[in-house]
Amino acid sequence: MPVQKCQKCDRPATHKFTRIVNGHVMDFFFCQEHAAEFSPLQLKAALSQLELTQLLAGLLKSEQGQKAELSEQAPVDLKCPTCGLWFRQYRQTMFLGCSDCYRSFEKYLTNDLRRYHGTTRHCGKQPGPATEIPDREKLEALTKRLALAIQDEDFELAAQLRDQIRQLPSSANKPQGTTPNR
Amino acid sequence: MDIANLTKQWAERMGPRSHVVVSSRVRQARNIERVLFPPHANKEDLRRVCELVNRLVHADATLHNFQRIDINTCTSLERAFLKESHIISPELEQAGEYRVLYLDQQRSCAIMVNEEDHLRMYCLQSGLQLTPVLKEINAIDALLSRSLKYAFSEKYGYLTSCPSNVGTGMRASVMLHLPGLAMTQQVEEIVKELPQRGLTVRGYYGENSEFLGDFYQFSNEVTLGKTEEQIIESLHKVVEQIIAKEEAAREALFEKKRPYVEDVIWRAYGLLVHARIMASSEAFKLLSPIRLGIERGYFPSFTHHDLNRLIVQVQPAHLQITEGETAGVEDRDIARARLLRAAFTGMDSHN
Repeated sequence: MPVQKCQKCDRPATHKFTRIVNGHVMDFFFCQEHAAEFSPLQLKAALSQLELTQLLAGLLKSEQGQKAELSEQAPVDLKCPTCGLWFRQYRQTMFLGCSDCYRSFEKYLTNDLRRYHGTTRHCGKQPGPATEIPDREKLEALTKRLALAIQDEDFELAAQLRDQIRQLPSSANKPQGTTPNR
Repeated sequence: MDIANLTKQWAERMGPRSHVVVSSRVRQARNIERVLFPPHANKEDLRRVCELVNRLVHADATLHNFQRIDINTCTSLERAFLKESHIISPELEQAGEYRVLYLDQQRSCAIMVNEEDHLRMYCLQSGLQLTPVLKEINAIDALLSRSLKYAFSEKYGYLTSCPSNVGTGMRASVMLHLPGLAMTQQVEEIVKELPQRGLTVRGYYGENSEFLGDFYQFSNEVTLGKTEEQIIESLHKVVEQIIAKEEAAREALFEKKRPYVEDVIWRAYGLLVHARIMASSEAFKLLSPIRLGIERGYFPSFTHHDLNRLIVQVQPAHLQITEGETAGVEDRDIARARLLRAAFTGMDSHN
């Protein structure tokens, strides 16, 4: 997948906006700076400034050899030791090479994750058989994740986890064996 | 393989809220530990993944009933047919070595191997059925995870080749038919509010595809920091709100602009009954008001699922398979008009 560039300058796009214009879905890509300028009210102005035909065609294919400005000051020689993928290659394709890339590029991926998801910590299911997890175990897991979220100062996630804990029946706090089936 | 018989169950059945909701789909992306992600993998990696999954599918009592389709051995026409039926993604349609599809007998669940991630499994049902669909896909995921070691991290969840899918690796989508909101120009307003709820809208075939016939696919954008159930819940909530708005828009249209709406419906009917040449984009455009007319009782012998089936049948690769590989665009347009005339002529209608 080619790197998406900001539609107002040559920098890599960090924000995507989806709008419907005359019944067509249109994606708008902007860098941090130009994303701040973009709002629904400015849609018309943005459209007139851009090459409309390019937009409709799916637009802005990256050209090889174009300067890809690396955001967040990632060192140019940053590489995943497991798969050999350069961080700049990831920036060009937005595809990581292997699961270890998440660790190798962690410092610089955090911003991407925040942009995509608004948070950086998983709180969904974990691999394993789809057996019903007892409330008590759920409570333990959620409490552990809540502590980690607070430690990371991810208060939005912490609030979500707190709400999930509150949703558990109070019996989850009682000794094992008394938990009713939910 | 008889691809032409692979019609999807979602198009053959009626689900809850079918007057607005066409289908509900949930997919989960998974990768296998210590194997390079598909966009950077070499042939040996891809082959290994295929072998691991194939062995597992054969050994499992539930999965061994899934039909295996090697995408690379399919013709481009067959691949296009599978995409039009929403059986494979546009990405998998591009083919390449060691790309495999496992499809269940009901044609509602499938596992795509070596797409953007090693495994992309999905379940799709007609109507608004997000929770049952999640349950089904969770069961398949659990079966696979018994034997496959997934790339997973406590912090980031299921690790995917693109970080936009990391965490749950889950994309839940609902295909809605919104002629009322489209006619009253309210769709854009709804779309603007989606990002703040972690949701987005996509076209008929998913990401970067165009909107056809007032069909809009609403799905979650955020995959990290929420549980699978929370994602489903928030999508479900928004979809219910959109349904209510669509119902209100339809009511208002029929109350205040009945001649206008009826004109749109009956003009569409007139063209479908009489046209001799019809492009697929025009067919989509005309079938949309007919679907609205079905809900309002204008076509008592027609159901929403008849319409869903027609929408699939009029697409280019479907017609090409029926008409023969040598049929050109004009032949297809003639065949499409013939098929629609046959479907609508003599149909019981309350004009």
